[in-house]
Amino acid sequence: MPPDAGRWTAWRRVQERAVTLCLLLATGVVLVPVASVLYVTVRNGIAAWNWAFFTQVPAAVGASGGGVGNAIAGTALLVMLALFVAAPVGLMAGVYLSEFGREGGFPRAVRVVNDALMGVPTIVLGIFVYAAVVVPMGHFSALAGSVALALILIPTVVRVTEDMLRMVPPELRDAGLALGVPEWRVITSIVLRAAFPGILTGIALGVARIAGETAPLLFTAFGNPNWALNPLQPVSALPLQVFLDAVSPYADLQQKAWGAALLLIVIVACGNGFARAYTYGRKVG
Amino acid sequence: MTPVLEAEHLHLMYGARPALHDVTLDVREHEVLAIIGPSGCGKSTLLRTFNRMNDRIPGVRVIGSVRFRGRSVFDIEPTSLRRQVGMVFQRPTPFPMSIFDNVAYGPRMHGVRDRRRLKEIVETSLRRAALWDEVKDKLSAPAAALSGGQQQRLCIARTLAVEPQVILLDEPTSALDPGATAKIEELIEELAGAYTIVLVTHNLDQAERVSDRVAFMLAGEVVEVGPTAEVFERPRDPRTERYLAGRPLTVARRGVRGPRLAPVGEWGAR
Ligand SMILES: Nc1ncnc2c1ncn2[C@@H]1O[C@H](COP(=O)(O)OP(=O)(O)OP(=O)(O)O)[C@@H](O)[C@H]1O
Ligand SMILES: [Mg+2]
Repeated sequence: MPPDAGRWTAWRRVQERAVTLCLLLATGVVLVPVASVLYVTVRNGIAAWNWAFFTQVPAAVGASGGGVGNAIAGTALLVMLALFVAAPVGLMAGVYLSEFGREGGFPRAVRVVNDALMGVPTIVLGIFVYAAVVVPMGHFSALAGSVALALILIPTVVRVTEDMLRMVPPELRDAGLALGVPEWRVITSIVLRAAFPGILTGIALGVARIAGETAPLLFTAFGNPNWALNPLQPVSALPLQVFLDAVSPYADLQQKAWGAALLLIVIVACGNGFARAYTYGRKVG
Repeated sequence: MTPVLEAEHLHLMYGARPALHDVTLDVREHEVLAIIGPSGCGKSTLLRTFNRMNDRIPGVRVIGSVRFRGRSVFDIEPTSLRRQVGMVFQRPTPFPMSIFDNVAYGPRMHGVRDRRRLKEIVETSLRRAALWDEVKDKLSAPAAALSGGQQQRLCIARTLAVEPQVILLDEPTSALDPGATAKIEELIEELAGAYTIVLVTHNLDQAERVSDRVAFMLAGEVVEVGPTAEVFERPRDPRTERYLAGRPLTVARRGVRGPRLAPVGEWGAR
């Protein structure tokens, strides 16, 4: 053993400690904002949660009480309508890209456009929908809001669907075809089924994301202080409610904003949690 | 009698790359034909021309004829051809569904709706594939939960369920342990009475055990084909002899320390 072997070992240990410390610090930097957001939101928001909060519409300005029931219903309506459009459209486009358009100019162009759409700031999509839907209709509406949300969701669904379908082993396709089953039936009954958990996960994450979008709703769904579940009428949404209440001068409304923010966090967390539980559960089985 | 399958002066190219060269080979009713040969010699390619699975690969060109019961396979609708000429792959390919649904998949896709009829088909197919006793209590369990050997027998059952006349097996045991391999071999022997079987294998002992005739392929050509015992005992072609001599077990059995020949290399350069 060389005489300074002990010193080397000591030096190594110092190095190792330093590296570990750096990694820990970096992790801390990531965790601190998340933890503080959660802490502050829960602390301020939980007090707003009561029966009325979930079931009533906002009280008259200045009066206390009331709730954000209309915003919850509005968000559900907007997300559902958006999903209703985006899921089938995105799925079909994704299937096309993966199964029929591996090569060629058109599929490549679709991919480029799709990726570009994914990168467009959501407020730009909002303005576009304002011009394309709100102005011709003559008024704001849940429909316009969900069109804007669908435009955000579609590229995600297309991408996830294509990626997940490509991950399905080619042997599975061959095995289906070798039974004399036509290709399109193999795709719908085996390939899509094999990719389904992954696609569903992607859609769940996308839904969690659009549930929290504010910008594209400002001049599409607009907001509505009353119960409104008519797609052709303006409708409230949780992010809009947070925005309105938070900037109001009333402490009671500000607290409602925290409460709505907390609810949004819970919704997003549920979306993510569902996605994780579903994929992990499947992987094991 | 017309052979079940026959290839005549068959050439196949993957783009500019030849993979089969002047292959002439027939497969007879109710026989087990084994195809042996070094890796890359075109065994899978030949097998896949019998049920037109190569159609899907872009750039494939075929010259010569392939006939199923006297009729050119290229005149038969691929879906209908594949129902009659089934195929099992090297790696087990259970579909992401229950054991029952895996076996019922083909019949369902081909229009069988009646539940009782489906149950019957599933049971018969699983029995024929010697898997029934192992899975009869868990038909609704996911197929992925079975062992590799069980999955492979499930794939065979799934193929049997569409009632093919020919079964093409492409190295069906190469991903399995010896126990599972023995079961599949037994199964092949049992099925041989009712079906015509083409078996691609790297396992020469397996070929010797289960096949009636054996074809030796090298570099895209069929070098020699004949009754299994004859080819193994008295190969006519020196290339066959050399390939068979590379078999460790044969060497041990004959007590000769024959040279272990390196497998024939990349042949595309020819
Ligand atoms: N899809 C393809 N595109 C291009 N070349 C291919 C394709 N499939 C096979 N080949 C080539 O054709 C030749 C024959 O391949 P094939 O898979 O038929 O061999 P094999 O005898 O089955 O080999 P193995 O024993 O390894 O399975 C090989 O040189 C291979 O590289
Ligand atoms: Mg092969």
